[in-house]
Amino acid sequence: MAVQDKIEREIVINAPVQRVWELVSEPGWWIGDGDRSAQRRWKEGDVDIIEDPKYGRFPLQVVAIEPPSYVSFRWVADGEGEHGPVGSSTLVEFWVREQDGGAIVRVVESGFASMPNPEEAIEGNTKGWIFQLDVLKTSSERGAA
Amino acid sequence: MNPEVDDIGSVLAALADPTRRHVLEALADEGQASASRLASRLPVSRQAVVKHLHLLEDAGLVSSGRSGREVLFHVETDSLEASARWMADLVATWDRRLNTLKRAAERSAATDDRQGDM
Repeated sequence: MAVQDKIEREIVINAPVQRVWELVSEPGWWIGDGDRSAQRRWKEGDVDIIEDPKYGRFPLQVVAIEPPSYVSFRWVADGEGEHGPVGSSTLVEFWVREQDGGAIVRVVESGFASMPNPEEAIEGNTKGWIFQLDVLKTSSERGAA
Repeated sequence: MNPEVDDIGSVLAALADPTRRHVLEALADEGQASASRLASRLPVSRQAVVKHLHLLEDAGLVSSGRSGREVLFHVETDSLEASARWMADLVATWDRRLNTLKRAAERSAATDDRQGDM
């Protein structure tokens, strides 16, 4: 098992890039459990609010957008401090690229480490580390024995 | 959304610093050790090691106990394992979301094809 500060996944989709882009670039499309019919969404300034009856309120901001290949979103804290997976500031990035008439979507969610204690996290290089737990556990158990 | 989330955040923040990861690795290697012992293995001052150990202890990654005049530290693997499990769950969640996206895109692509044929 590894502990790291980001998650990276990819999927191949048999649909044109343009169609995939329309879905991927919609703020908060991933919120909820697939059924979005009961969600409410509106804008407050440049913040998109998605309200899911089950999961609550998610304010999101578009960080950068380059149609039809890249878009990134960040959770915006709104005082409640209970939005998103870890606190409120993970960055969610999507890349869409064409392949054989279909599309490949890559998602990277990052910034878990910088949430609860920003001044500490900024000290080190918070991007792209992986902590290998197996190695640690093995040596730790050896040490304890 | 998850009561464990704050704990995991502090674990990840504690691990974000490369020196702190080295301290943790050195400690895991020793089993239990004093700050002085760890400092002798690392290119870091004893004071810096102490500071890092306290941050690791706050995050629940390390525990300490007195042994005579020394304070000895050891690694708490439980909270690391909880973080790794949480990351694995989140990976599974993204896979589920991407699959939902795939189904939606491919369904509408198929609809477009049929309309195109007419």
